[in-house]
Amino acid sequence: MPSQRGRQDRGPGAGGLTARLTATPPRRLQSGAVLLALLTLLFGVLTVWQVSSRSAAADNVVNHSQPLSNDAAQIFRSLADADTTAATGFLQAGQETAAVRTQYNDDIATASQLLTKAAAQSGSDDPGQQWITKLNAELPVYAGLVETAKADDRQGIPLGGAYLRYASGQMQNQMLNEAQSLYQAETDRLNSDYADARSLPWAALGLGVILLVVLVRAQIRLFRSTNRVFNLGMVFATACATVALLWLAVGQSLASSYLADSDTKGAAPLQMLNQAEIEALKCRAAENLNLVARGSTTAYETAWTTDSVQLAGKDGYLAQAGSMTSEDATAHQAVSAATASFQNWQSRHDTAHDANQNGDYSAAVNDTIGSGSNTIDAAFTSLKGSLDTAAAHEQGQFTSLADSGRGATSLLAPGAGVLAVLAAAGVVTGVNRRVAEYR
Amino acid sequence: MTTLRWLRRPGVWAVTSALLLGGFAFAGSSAAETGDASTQPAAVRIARAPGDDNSCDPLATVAPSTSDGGLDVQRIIARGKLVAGIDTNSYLWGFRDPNSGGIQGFDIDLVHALAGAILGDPNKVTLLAVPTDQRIPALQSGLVDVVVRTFTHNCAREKQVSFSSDYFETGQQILVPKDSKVTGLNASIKGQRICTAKGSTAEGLLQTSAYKSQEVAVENQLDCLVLMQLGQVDATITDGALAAGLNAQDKSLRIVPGTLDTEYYAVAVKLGSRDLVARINAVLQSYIADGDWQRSYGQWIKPITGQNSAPPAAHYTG
Repeated sequence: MPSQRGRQDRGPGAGGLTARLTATPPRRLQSGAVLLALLTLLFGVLTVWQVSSRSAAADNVVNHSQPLSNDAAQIFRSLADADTTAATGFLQAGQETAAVRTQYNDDIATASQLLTKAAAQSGSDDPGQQWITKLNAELPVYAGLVETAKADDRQGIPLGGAYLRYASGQMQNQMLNEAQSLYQAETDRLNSDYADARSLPWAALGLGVILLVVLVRAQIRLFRSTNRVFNLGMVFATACATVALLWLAVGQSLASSYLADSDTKGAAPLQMLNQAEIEALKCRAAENLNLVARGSTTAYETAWTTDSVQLAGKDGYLAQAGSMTSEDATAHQAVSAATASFQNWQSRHDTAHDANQNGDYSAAVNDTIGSGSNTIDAAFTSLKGSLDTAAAHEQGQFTSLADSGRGATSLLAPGAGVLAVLAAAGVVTGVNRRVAEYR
Repeated sequence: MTTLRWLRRPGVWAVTSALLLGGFAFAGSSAAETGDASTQPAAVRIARAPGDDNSCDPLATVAPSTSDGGLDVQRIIARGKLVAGIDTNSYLWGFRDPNSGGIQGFDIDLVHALAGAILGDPNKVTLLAVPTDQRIPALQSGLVDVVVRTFTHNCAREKQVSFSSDYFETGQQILVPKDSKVTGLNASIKGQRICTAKGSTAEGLLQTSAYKSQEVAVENQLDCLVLMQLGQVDATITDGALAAGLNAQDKSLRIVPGTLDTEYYAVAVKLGSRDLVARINAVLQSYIADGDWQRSYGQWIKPITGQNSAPPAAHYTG
């Protein structure tokens, strides 16, 4: 604050307004009170604005971007599952079971529904929109190719297998990449909403600290000039501002902490589990298609090797999901069970592979798509079940932690606004008392 | 207890106390692949596939023998099974009937005849589906005894595997939709999208042709048919025998008359297995003489091509 002498020096030169506002001690007091009240109100407005924008971002995380990211993962999964199931149905040839046909139809229907939903929920400027448009156009074409493959196969001609491999190529090399991009775009938005919701409102916090400093200084000055220790209005204002600042700091850091947990203990492991499930589906598709190809290419064996390492290798998705859930017994157990299922799958895969290598194609097909407790299908189903259990648990964790995060600031914006108004009123009332003493 | 749990959350105390302490302290202180294609004589029809070095007579082979004494024949007899590398995707030649699960075709009939002669039972066979590019490695590693898989006998391959006498004569042909204006590998094909299998004779042929335009290379000749049906290519070049198989799966196509070269299919075995080659040649000799060849041809190929055919005559070298 400028010194008394400085103010006097500047007085005449500064002209009318300043001179009039500082002409007499009561005037000076009144002007100071107005400035202080305005500063208090500014703190209130800034707090309400910053807290509301963070709450809106947190709402976006819970109601918009996380569900969209999860839907995108579900689209990805449905497409990968459709490809896997189409190959299973094809290998069953004329004996395609109702369960397999239903599962394939459900996959296509789910993907189609979710694509429509995602298109409706994301604006035209949304980065995911281009992938949605492409996938929407390609899905019916893919389904048509699969039907052609089956029809040709029923005619007893090898062309059916070539059609299915072509359809699968479209899926694996194009559609799944687009679904991955869509998933990535939605997950990027989730992370950006997270960052917005978790950032501390430094401007409001800073202004709050400045406000407290100014309030305390003003009371010290008032004490020196009037020799009265307590000005009730000012003390009330200081108390209100302190409570508001405390509430802001505690509430917002609490929210940030909960939201951070909802990410590291919910959304992030959930994303990893989604990746793992998609990779498992790719493995299963490669295994099936290797039999569909009937020895015309070694590409699918290579794909199995690559995909299975990505899934269950040392740094694979399962290992990563395991370490991400190491502090959560329920999820960790489910991931361990999934890893054990994969080991069963791998050994049964090797058995089927050996049968195929020895020319026993029928045994290889039976081992691969046959049902029963000791089959590849059983191991794959159990792996998927474990991953689904873990994913459901992580989704629950996410929702509960994110809700706690949102709850931590639910009354903060209106509360801080009211406290700021009260503090401003306190300042004005308190100073007016002193001003009255001059009359 | 539950209500106060938030007090223990990380970050809450740190941020709050730092702010408040700092704030008050501040206030207090009051401051603030197919490379080596040969050059063909222009005047005559191409007699050899590209990739071939013309250094041999592909019809020449070891004289037939019915002796089972050789090491390679003995190994098959000791095992009691003939392991054959075959194709399961070539309609009419080697393919799996999706409904019955059985593998059948012209090549498969020959495999059964080999097992019948060598082991006394045509069903003592293990049929292994071998990809096109794995035919030679499968023989070299001993994974299979024989490869009977529309395998063209040429001089370049003779350096890697041994061939029996040739059992089928064919040549590259062009497969197009019925209404196509293509009449051969000439100006009429210029500008069309042509499909060939990667590493195939046809691909090499196209590379050296003056009429090559937009080639589309795929893994398997069957993939060409998919692309043709989807309108992504206008023509396919492949062995006449395989083209017939493709045509049989889609009657809306036609094979352009005339072949672009002459090729022979033979049974391939591991390089240097003379005793096995001689034994196979004897089987082929009687297979042809007894009319089995014509019977198999009549069952698989003739209904599609509508043409009569006969096996090429072998040149035995003793």
